Amino acid sequence: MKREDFLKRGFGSLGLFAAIPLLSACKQTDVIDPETTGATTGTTGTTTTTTPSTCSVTNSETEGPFPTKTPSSLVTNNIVSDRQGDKLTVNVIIRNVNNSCEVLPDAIVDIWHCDAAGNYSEYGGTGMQSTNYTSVHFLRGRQTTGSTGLATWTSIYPGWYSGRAPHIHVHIYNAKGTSLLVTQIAFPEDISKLVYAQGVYKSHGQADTTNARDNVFGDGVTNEMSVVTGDVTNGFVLTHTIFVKA
Amino acid sequence: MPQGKIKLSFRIVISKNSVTKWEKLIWESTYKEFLMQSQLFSDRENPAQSFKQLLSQNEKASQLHFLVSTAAHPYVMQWKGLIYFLADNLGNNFLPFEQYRFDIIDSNIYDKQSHEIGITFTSPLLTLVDIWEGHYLVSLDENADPVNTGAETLMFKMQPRLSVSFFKP
Repeated sequence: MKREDFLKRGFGSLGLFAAIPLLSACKQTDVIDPETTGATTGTTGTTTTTTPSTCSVTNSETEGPFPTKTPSSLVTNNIVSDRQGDKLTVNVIIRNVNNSCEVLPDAIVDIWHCDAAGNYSEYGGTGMQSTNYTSVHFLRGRQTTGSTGLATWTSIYPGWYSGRAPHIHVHIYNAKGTSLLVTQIAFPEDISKLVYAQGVYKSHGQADTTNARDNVFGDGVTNEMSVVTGDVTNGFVLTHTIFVKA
Repeated sequence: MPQGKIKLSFRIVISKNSVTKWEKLIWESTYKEFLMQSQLFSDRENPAQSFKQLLSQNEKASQLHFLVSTAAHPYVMQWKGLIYFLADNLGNNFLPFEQYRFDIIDSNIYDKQSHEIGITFTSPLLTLVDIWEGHYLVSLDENADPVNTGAETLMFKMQPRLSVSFFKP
């Protein structure tokens, strides 16, 4: 299952969710030393071409409209796309363990979460997605932290799927795109219960997994727990601070 | 006479050898996205170099086809639903698409030159009127009745990477 993929990936391949008890001044969730990560920019080689056996003049009209450089479709504040649900403003603040817990500007932050029915925007592998191509990337977004370390999105309150407590995935990179941390944000259960009892969430019912029984948050949810304020009429605001080593 | 409703699929392969600005922008942006997103699936101490190696180590890396597509998506949107690399015989009519599928053929975190991706566009339902002299004779009107009432048609030459991906008599 795709959803489990995210989960297993976090545990198995990266081992990022191991709790690291720390006595440092700031509470630290899960940290990855950027010095040990391996992504680098590619090297430039010599371009070679092969000569086809036959050829004709390339049609001059086929390049299409003038192409303009555009950031990834992830780079957006509003990640709702065509999804329905209660409005959720997501405020994530990034702080740096290696710099006296100060806020970290210019960090790249990706978030993604499921919709009210518990589905992620992904079709997996090379299969053809069934939805319209213009809305295939719903509920995924990328922002860069400002001078206060804050990244903000407008989204909807995530739904839930079997076996997991409600959550938002977060991947934090430094300004160069090197991965610093992959983690998840947990939700207060009393607020989730309110949300799942009404609106587009109601038919899916209440979440089947508590934070305490969740296999990501179950070892202690304190550091991943967000503060959520608001109500179903006016929407909700989530605020959460994540500590990284940058 | 093979009349029926069809969808045509057309695949574009973008590599270091691609020449148009549109392809080069996609090549650059999807490589950068691959470098970022592949870190989700790589072993941090000993990252796989190529996409194929990564797939063999962690099958969940197949999600990268979708995740990296986010960097190509804005450029696909700039085409506003027309496959500008697939003109009909006149040269200025283009096949419309309503779906596309992005795939990473291969890439390498240490070798940008090996980055190669594919985008497969699929048309809406078309009426296949006939196949003439190596051309698909189609009407963009899926409800066309060319035998009885006639229909405006386009002619797309049979060529590599152009396939009928759906057929209904």
